[in-house]
Amino acid sequence: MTSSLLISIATFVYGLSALLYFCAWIFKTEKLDLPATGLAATGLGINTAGFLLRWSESYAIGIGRIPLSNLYESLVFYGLAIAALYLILERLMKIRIAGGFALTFSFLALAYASLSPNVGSQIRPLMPALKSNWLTAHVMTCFVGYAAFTLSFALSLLFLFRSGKEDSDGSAFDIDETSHQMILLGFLFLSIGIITGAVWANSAWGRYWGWDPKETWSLITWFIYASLIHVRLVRGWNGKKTAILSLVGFAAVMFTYFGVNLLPGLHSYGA
Amino acid sequence: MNKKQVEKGLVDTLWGVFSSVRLSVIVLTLLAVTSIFGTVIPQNAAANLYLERYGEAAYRVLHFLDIFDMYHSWWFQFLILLLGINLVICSMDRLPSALKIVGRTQRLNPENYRRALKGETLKMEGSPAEVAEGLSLRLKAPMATFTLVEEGEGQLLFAEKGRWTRLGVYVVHGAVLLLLAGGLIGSLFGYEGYMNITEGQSDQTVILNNSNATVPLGFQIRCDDFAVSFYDTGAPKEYRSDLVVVDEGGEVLSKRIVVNDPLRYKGISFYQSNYGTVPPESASFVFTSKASGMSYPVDGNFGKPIPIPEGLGTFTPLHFINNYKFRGHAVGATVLGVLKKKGGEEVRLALPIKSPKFDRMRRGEVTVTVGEFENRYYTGLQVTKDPGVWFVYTGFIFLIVGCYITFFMSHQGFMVEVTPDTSGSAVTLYGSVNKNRLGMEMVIRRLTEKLERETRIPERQVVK
Repeated sequence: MTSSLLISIATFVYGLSALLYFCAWIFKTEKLDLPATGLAATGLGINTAGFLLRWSESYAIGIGRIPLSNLYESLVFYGLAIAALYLILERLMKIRIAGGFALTFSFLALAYASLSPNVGSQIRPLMPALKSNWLTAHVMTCFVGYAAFTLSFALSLLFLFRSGKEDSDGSAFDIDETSHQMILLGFLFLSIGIITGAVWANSAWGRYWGWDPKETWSLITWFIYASLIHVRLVRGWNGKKTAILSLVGFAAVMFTYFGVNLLPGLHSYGA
Repeated sequence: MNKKQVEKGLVDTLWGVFSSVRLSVIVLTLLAVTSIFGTVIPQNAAANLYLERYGEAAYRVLHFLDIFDMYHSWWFQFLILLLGINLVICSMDRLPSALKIVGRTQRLNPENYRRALKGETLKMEGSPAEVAEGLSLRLKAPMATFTLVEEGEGQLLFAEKGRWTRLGVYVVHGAVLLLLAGGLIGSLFGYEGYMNITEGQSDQTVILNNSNATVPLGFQIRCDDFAVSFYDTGAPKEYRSDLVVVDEGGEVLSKRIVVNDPLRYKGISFYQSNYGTVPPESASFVFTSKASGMSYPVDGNFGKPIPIPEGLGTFTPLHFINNYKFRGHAVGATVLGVLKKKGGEEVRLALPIKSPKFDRMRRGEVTVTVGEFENRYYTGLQVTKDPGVWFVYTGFIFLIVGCYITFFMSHQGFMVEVTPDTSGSAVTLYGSVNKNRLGMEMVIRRLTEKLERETRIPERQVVK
């Protein structure tokens, strides 16, 4: 049993779970609720096992580091974070409707990690600049933030899909509000991610900010969500307008994650 | 309208503009959009690279707009300044009234709560007064200490918490101002530069990155040792330097630094960032005479002619090159020098260290080989002084704490209404909140459900 095999299995389970969520949604049946949630939790368990196994594998080959330092490892953690955050949300808010989109994202993240030829899954030793305790804090907080923004994106998409229909049960309000809560959570974690990155940069290179493309794009993302939060809380925007802004914000998140690798800079080891 | 009124009107208008959230959103959007340029167009590259890529005309326009160093350009700094002023004026505009609200106590008006969020009505045994007394103990933990108000035969319990959280947003804004202040202090009173110190030597001046000007440290840094290690794959594993601070004639501090673990002394930090080998100042050379077949090892300094025995002329070693290319082939570390023959004829020689027989190919009267020399590293240190960093770090903490308060804590008011009922009392929970209604809805629903489970009237179960 290798970690990459576990990740492949988790990919498959996430895909199946997403399918069930969509079926439950389209056919409006509650029979599929439990299997969908069960599969999502199983996928999360296998994904987590894969993450932990990779960690122990790195010790077995004498490198010994937490698997959070290249694109493959970040994708695995991203999928894990989305599934975990979604399941917490489902339990707390009783909103199952975003499940299909959320698990699709977990599925896509893991599928991209396992299948794309551009993503190397080899465990490599850390370059000197990455040897720091800040690595774990920085990467984990960033990806919890990304996962929250992803859920907000899923909910905003749902909101826009349903905006033509009549809102009889007040669920549109719930979706809008939950999406906003996810943005707030994402914003908090993005802030902590940027801050831990800045403190780390200051301890490694002697400056907390250097306008490196990844830094700059994370700040652009921060500016966009900060604008959204202000227009919502102070100017009372909600519903369709903030849903569209949330899509824009998520586009910036995706560019911060993937697009920046096309640009030169310090974070190029993420590629 | 007299002049004073016009001035007042202008001040009011400006105040209105600078205290508006509209301006904040516009500035944030402009910062977001313009920041993109600097990530697409390389910053601070050589002029000819830009000319090649964008052409003459576009280069002039972009250069005029400082796009090639846009994050330090006047207009970008202006946007940041605008954000700062906006934040200050906004806070001055709203903080007094926010403080006034925070200073008040809960308004015990039942009608306000009846219009707010409401839970399902529960039936409980006992008179309203008894039930209210029980509930005021039971609900104190999730709500707060209650104030009792009697309304007819009914009893109303009021409680609130988190009034102070209304100030959370000012913590966030204060944090951003601290970040801006820290950045400004750093750029005014700090510097960024580098030092290259050869093993065994000391230095006390920093060369600045931007201007190549030098700044004296006020003390000396000595590098005792530098080492680099590699993984089996050949990728670098660790760079480290053993540094000693010499101040006022004595060694005051010594530290082995690696990447991610700098040396700090008197507000100045020294980071491991680079390394290289130092060309030797002297070396030993071996001269082999073709006529006699004798070999003579002779020590000599770079730049000084070395007399060759048997009167074969002189050899002057000139340069030590780390990676020399001889007719297009990389031959590694090489000594370049000039051989002056007996008759005065000069020949330029390249003497690769790794191939001692290289000079034989010349078939001269004398063959020169490089013998021993001292191979030393220098360590490349990034040196920074940033007195603003503590403002920035304080800002970081405020930002996290402030965001948490602003986003996930709220000013919550509760009312528990207990009215007489056929079976005893009817209890309803009400809640009002200054944000996150959905969260409050959940709180009221959960507390009502919990209350129902805990105080379920036995008769009802029998009836079922």
